[in-house]
Amino acid sequence: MQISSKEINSLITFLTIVFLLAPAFLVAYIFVYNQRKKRHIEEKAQMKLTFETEIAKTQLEVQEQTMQTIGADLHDNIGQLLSLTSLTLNSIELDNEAKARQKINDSIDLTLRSIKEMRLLGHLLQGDQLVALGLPEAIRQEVSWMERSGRYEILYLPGEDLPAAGNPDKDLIIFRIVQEIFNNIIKHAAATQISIALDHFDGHLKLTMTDNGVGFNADSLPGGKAGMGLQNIRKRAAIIGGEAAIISSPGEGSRVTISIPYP
Amino acid sequence: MINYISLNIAMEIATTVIAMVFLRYESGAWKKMPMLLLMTCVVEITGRALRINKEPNDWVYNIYLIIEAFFISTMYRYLISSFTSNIRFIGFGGLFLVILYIFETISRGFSAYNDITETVMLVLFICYGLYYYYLLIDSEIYHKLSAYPPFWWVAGTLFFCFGSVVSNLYYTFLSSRAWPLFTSRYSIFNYLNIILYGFWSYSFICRYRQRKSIA
Repeated sequence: MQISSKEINSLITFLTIVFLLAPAFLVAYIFVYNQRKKRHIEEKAQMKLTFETEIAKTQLEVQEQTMQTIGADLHDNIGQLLSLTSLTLNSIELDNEAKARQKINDSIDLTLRSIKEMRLLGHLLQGDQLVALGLPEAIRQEVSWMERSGRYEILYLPGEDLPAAGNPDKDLIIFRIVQEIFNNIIKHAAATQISIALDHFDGHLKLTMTDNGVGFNADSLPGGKAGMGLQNIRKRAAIIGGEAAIISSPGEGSRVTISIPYP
Repeated sequence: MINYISLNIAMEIATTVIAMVFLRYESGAWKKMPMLLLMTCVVEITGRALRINKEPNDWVYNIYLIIEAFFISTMYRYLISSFTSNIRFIGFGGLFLVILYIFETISRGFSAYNDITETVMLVLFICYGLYYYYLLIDSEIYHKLSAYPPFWWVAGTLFFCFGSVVSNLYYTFLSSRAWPLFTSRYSIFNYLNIILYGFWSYSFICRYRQRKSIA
């Protein structure tokens, strides 16, 4: 079969047009892909902003919690000690030397206790700076604060395999979660025993806090502040790429487990 | 004189003027673009003049092939180097073209057009362009493509190379058979040149705007 010149021209022109479709589709695809890339970059920037806002909020909350603790301690503890000192000193009868000496000694003892309490408060005044000492140490300070109330028997087990260099942002958020759990225990659990375990394995930090309190139905979280507190724990764990599991049932205490990629 | 200026040459002159105006403060590979376009104009006018005077003009386009290969490879080298330092393959590609060019010139003589070298060169430029686009979309950095000069420069080059490959392949491998003469090659190249110089001119303007906004 003879091919005419016209047919060849048409064929080559047609093939050229078909070949031109390739770069046309390519350019269109790159435009679409680039738009997706733009959206992804914007989302990443938004997530970074949310993270930074959350860090700032957490920092404020830790400071607020510290100020509340200090306020309560000044009122309930140091204030009482100083009032008692003042009363003791006022009740001294100088003509009864033996009794006066006893009361002066009691006053000295009360003053020394006040000084000791003030020192402890001084540590707490550092507030969020506690986290700079490292997460295990910050939790230890919080534990000793709780123990001082005499209402709780606390078992704290910081793992030996925790990384030496932590992650300050994550430490702050985990520390705030610990504070939040302690708050829940104080306000709602009526617990007497608390255990805290901090472990590190497979690049994850695992925090487990257990209490023997009244417990609650974990499947239907209570509304109001208590429910908000638990939601906050979940939300905060998610912000640093982790997850929180809350296991509890009425009368059987509760267990909160947080697992976070660390450091 | 007017006979020497075809639509194609008029477009090349216009693009050269645009390049000279908008790339006058450039450095690096962009600065070389007006030079390439100026040489393209000279080659095209010479080629046309020889054709009008019924003289063979393939040797002019053979010289131009070296210029084109050098300048386009340099530009690709510059563009790709902004993403990766691994650009040795462009050097190897250039070396391969030189060997092929010498081989084709020796075997067919300098007066016959080196169309195999040209086809291979076009395929290489397509590969460079595709690789550049791959690096562009793989990069973490976002560029507004509608005003991003390298994107339009590569797009113009890709359109031209893709479009030229078909007629070149015909010319290279089929025209020697007993097939009829393919006469619409010239008009296809005219359309491809419109696309190429249109995209390139736009990229030069984008480059100028980009430079102005940075300054």
